[in-house]
Amino acid sequence: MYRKEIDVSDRNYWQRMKKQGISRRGLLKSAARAGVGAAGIALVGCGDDDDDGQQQAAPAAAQAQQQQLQQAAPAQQQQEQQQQAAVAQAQQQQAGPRQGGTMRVGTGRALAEHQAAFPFGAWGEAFPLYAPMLEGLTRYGNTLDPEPRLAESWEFNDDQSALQVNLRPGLEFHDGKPLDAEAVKLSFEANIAEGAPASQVAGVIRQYIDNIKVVDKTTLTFNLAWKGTYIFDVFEYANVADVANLTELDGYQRINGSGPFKFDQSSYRVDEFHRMERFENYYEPANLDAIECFTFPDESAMALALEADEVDFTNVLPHPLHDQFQENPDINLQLGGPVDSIFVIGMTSKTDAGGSEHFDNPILRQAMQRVIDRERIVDELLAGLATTRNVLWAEHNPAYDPARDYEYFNLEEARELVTKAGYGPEGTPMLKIATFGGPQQEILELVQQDAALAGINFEVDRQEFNVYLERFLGGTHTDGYASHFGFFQLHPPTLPIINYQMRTPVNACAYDSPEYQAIIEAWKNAETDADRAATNERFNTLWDNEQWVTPIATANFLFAWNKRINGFSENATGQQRWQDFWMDDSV
Amino acid sequence: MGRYLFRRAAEALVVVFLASVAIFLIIRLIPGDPAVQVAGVDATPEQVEEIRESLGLNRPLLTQYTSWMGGVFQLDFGKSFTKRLPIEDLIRQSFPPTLELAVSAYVFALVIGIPLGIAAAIWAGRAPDVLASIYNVFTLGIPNFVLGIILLWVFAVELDWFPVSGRVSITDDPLAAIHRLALPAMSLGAIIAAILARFIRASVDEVLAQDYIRTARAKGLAERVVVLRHALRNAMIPVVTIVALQVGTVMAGAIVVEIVFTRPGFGLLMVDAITGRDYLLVQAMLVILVLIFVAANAAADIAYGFLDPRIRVGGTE
Repeated sequence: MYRKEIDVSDRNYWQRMKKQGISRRGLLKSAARAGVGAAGIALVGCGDDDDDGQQQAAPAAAQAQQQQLQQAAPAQQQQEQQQQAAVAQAQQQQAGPRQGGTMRVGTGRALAEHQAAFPFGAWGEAFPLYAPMLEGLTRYGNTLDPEPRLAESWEFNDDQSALQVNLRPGLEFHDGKPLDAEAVKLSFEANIAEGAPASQVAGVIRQYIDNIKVVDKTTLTFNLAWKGTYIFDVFEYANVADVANLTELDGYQRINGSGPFKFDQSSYRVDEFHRMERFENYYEPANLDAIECFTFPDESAMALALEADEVDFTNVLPHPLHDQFQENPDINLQLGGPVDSIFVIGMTSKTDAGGSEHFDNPILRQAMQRVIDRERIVDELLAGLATTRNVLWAEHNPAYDPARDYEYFNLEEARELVTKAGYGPEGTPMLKIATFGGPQQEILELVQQDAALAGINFEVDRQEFNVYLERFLGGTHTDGYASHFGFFQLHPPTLPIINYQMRTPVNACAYDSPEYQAIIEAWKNAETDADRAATNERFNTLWDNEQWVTPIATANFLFAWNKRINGFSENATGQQRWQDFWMDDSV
Repeated sequence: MGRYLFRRAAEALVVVFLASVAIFLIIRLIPGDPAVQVAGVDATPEQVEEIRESLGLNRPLLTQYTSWMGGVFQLDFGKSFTKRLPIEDLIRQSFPPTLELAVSAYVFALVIGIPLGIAAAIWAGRAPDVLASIYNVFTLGIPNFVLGIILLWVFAVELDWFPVSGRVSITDDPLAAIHRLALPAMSLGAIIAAILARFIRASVDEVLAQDYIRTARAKGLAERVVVLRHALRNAMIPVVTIVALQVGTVMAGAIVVEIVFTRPGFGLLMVDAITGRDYLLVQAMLVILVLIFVAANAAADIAYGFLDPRIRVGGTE
């Protein structure tokens, strides 16, 4: 079932090598470097030779002057050429997107790790793998305002209990099958059908949507269980898939998608490569001819591939390479928005299944919030390529309250809270906070020192990922854990439905309370925006007091692409519009 | 010879059987539930249980083992939990790249290690010997992945002589394949070359001190003939042993090298399978590795007889 092993990225392999001048240019470059090195050694060797040095000083100066004069002309020419190229590029960009070209994307993930039809739980890092092939009804822009995709327009009824969605006319799946209202309905229902794979999107569909009615070929009505705009959180991630194709999606034997690029099945090599070609019948045909995805198990190797022009674009450039790539004139760098996730420390409540009798006390949790030196973490551990996070919500979120967004780090206050929680001068006994390595472990180790000063004593409990995950999902970590926190950019009620640390009744912190349940009910039953705003405020007050999860800093992607690539964009949830990318071959 | 081969085959079967039992049990001792992995983080306990049932993970261990071995005898390794594809397909895809890498690493090791070892022995204490020592210290002191990154940086990024990543099948375009294999093979083969060079140096040194070498020289044979015809053949026995024993090192090294050079292969698949608790895939791959190791050792035993007729496989001498 696999195509024979050819490197599709490099169809003109030897022509390229010939163009590179492997024998001539390479040798010249290395010889030049060796010459420079030898000259350097010679200069160092001559450095202390006073007499000769004095005698040679004048001729050397004259020689240097002559060299400068000789170099001035080529340098000027080079500068002019660069200016001309920049002008040409600017003109090209002003002229608008160009059609054609194949963008080679490097990612750290592989397609086989994800469910193509229901990829709601996939990391943003994996978006390039499948997102170009699958489209939703709407997607957010930079805020929670939905933008049309497969849906051309939509309209709520008076009490916002139903949403009528109008599809674009003439939509098709990649095999030419009509993508009509019935297909959309079946696609949504497939998420929650018996035997469907568990997914976060299934969770929000079950909660927010009561039922879906087909009105005509291009119109359908979503009757909502939760009134209001929450439904767009579902549309943000729920891709419209061909239900008849679902069994073939298992193992990626075939993908009959709905997005701007279609899967080239014959190109697929598990964990290695796949190619997606422009789907001409998409409502807004893409600029690129194709996107090719290469999986790199090692980020550094991927960075080298980008530098060597073997890939054009990546969304996961390792942060430590930021400075190096910033100096590279051939690479564009873009720090992604704080849209993926934020680093957090979670503290478990005491339950029959386990948890912490110490962190069961909210006062100790408040103290923990105050021992985290977020600025130091961003500067020292995250290379400054992140922003501190004091509250759970993104700035565009309706629940974001700037008055609560202040620096909590205060060791004196933390010490007082530890005492108030009932601990003596020695502080708490030695607690265990779990991690599975990575930046969150470094963060824990840094927090450990300040926490001990305030009387919160803990050891970093490094666990194997599977063990960590099982305990995380069950809320049974001994005392706490370090992890990520996602979906804070969506509507507030979506968080307790799908975020592992917020969902009820089982969450990673084993946190639950009557007030929390009441807040979720209030969100569900809110009739007006004023009701929703009041509930948001109520949640924020609860979180201020309970703080079972402490936000620390954003985990931003670092995008990098070469100068040929244009049309990059990123929305409020970190998704790209793949049809907008275009290549400028004149660069 | 026939009896010997039969006995070795029987021994190999016992080894493979014992290894399969050990592999089967050990993979299950590693913490982490594959059903949770397959179900995904959003699954309810009921869904996890359903998946455990469908994967047969809640059956008795003996039933699971016999069911798996029954499949193996029919060359049906089952379906990967994580990749959701037949394991035969995954192995068919991942084995050739690793085989290419291993063979080319051995070729590199033999081409570098044998001449270096011989030269170091013949000119002991002189420049070639010093050069061999420097090479050994340099390569044995640097881990595979560091050497790989250095090679990548210098030859692929700075000098632009080689590509950074990827693979071309040797059957599609041999030249392009070798071009892409060169750096990974050097990275993996450098250490084996160093080990080989050390053993050959010691072995040749020992053989050169033998009476029959003195006799050969006394007869007036050219030094080249003495070394290549008389000394080297007898010095090759430890080399065969090393080559056979390094199969495990090559496979382990291949994992790292495949990651650094982004070459899809057995190593990468193995890492994924272990981290994903993909029991069936891990079991299948490890059994194949055991078979390769057993075959390499048997081949080494047979090779001894060809190199030194005094050694009779299965005999008493």
